[in-house]
Amino acid sequence: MRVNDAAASRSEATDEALMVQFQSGERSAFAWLVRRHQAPLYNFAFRLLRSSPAAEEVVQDAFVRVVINAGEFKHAAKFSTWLYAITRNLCIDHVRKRKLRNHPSLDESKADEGGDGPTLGERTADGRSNVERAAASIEIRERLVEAVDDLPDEQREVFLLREVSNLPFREIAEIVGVPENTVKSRMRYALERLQAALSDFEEYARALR
Amino acid sequence: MDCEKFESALMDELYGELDELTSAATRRHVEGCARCAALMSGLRATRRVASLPRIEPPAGLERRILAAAAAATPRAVPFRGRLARAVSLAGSWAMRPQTAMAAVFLVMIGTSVLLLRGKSSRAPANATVTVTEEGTPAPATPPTDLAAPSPEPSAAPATSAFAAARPQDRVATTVSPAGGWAQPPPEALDDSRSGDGARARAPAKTSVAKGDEGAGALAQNAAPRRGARESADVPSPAPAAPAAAAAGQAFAPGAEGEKASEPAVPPSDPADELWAARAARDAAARQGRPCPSGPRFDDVASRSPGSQTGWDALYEGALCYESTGEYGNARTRLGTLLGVASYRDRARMTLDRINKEQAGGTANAGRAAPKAAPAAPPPAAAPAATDSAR
Repeated sequence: MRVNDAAASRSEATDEALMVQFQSGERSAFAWLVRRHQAPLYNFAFRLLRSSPAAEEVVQDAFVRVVINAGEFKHAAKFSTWLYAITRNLCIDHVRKRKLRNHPSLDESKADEGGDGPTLGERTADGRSNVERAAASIEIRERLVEAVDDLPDEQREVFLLREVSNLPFREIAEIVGVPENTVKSRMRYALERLQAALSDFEEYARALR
Repeated sequence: MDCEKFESALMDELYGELDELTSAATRRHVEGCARCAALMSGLRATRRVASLPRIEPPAGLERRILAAAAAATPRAVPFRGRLARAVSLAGSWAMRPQTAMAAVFLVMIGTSVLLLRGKSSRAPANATVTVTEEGTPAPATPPTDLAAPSPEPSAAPATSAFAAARPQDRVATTVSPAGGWAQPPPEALDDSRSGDGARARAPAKTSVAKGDEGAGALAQNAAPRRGARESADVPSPAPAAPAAAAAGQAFAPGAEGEKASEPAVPPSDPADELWAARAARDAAARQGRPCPSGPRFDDVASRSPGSQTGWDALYEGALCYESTGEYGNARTRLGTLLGVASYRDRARMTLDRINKEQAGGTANAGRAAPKAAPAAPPPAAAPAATDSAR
């Protein structure tokens, strides 16, 4: 019972409280942070880098940096802000190295979308059974993924942090290091680009009603 | 609300980050403006459709992350943990009333000893030493702007003083603000006194002349002494709480000469720094200024993670930021405290209050005195200071 109580309190504890516990020497608190953030962090890195192996490497490095620099975290900002800032910087480094090496993984990353892993249609949460609807759904989602990939880097990262990681604009501004109004402008431009890419789909029309 | 303001608020409204009042205003504007309504509905529809599928991380990613983290710094956490535990233990002991009272008494005794020692090494405030020259008898009556160094009849001690003293041995210090160093005593220039005095006068004139030359040197010598004496005139600082001492309130201005001879101030303990931050906050509150101690509370909290001192600092820092309208900073700190059992309820209440304040647009910026509520029973001296500030 005591173990369950401890687990329950850990699962309810804020990131900052877990970080304080980790800084005090409780390694299990770090494990809870990993459990909580690894999936959204992976999604963010994957969408930014368009590569599963790269995203996994970046997420792993990000948490290692959290451990190494745990003493430097002064609670002046939220833990998620810090974690995403680390991850974003690692992604930027990865892209730079990739460009320098002229790595072919950019082409491979496109294959990751519908390659060895489950297809988008299989992995989506709505679970539509109708074939036509499923096909249309896959098509719009592929178009969406392409449209997101085609966004300028600064708009894409803001879009992903807002839509995938669900971070507020104020926090995104801290992560990317620009004013909050700039973040909102970038987000609006990103949405307008996506709107142009998706507006001829029936789903969009239905969503308008 | 006009279209321009609506566009400014559009993204916040789309993502639910607006306060209730502004959100209601945007909704009213949309009802009456077709252009803005189309803009809003188009972006809303895009959001609904542009929902990226969530991708499951590769199997075993969590395990690999934990393994990599453990391999990266196997000993970093334990040392930090040990250090933090030691600080926490020391902090918990420091915050006990008995320990705090003992610390206050030690500070009182220590400052008293230092000041008494310092005072005894200096000449009394009203002590004077007459400038003399060898062989020149002292004047029959002491000059009005010079106080006799002793209550004995002036002649005898004056004679002995004249016999023994050399100009450079004894330095005249005057109590009068007229700056006695620059001016010789008027009696030294008065030839109408006794013969001896007259005889004294002639050489005295010479000596005055010499004294004029020497006055500069003497004045130079006097300057630091004057500063020291001025500090002696300042009432000795009352034995204060560690915060007051740390805040430098114990020393009057102009006491730098004395300060140099005192022992160096040891590095401040986080508990002392916490009290110093509280003292600064309370002082600002009395002057109607906003709380300036946010960064100081943060510093204490970062230096004492996991300790009662750290939690107190974190909470009071949050209140400080709330009072200056920095709600984001306040929320961050309160969020941390939601995980601390002794602060959970207070943190929740404060967060609720902040949310209401933001929703109601009540500005707390500039509110001088945040309601401070120390978690642990504070020492006797501090609550008196805190309570009096409210």
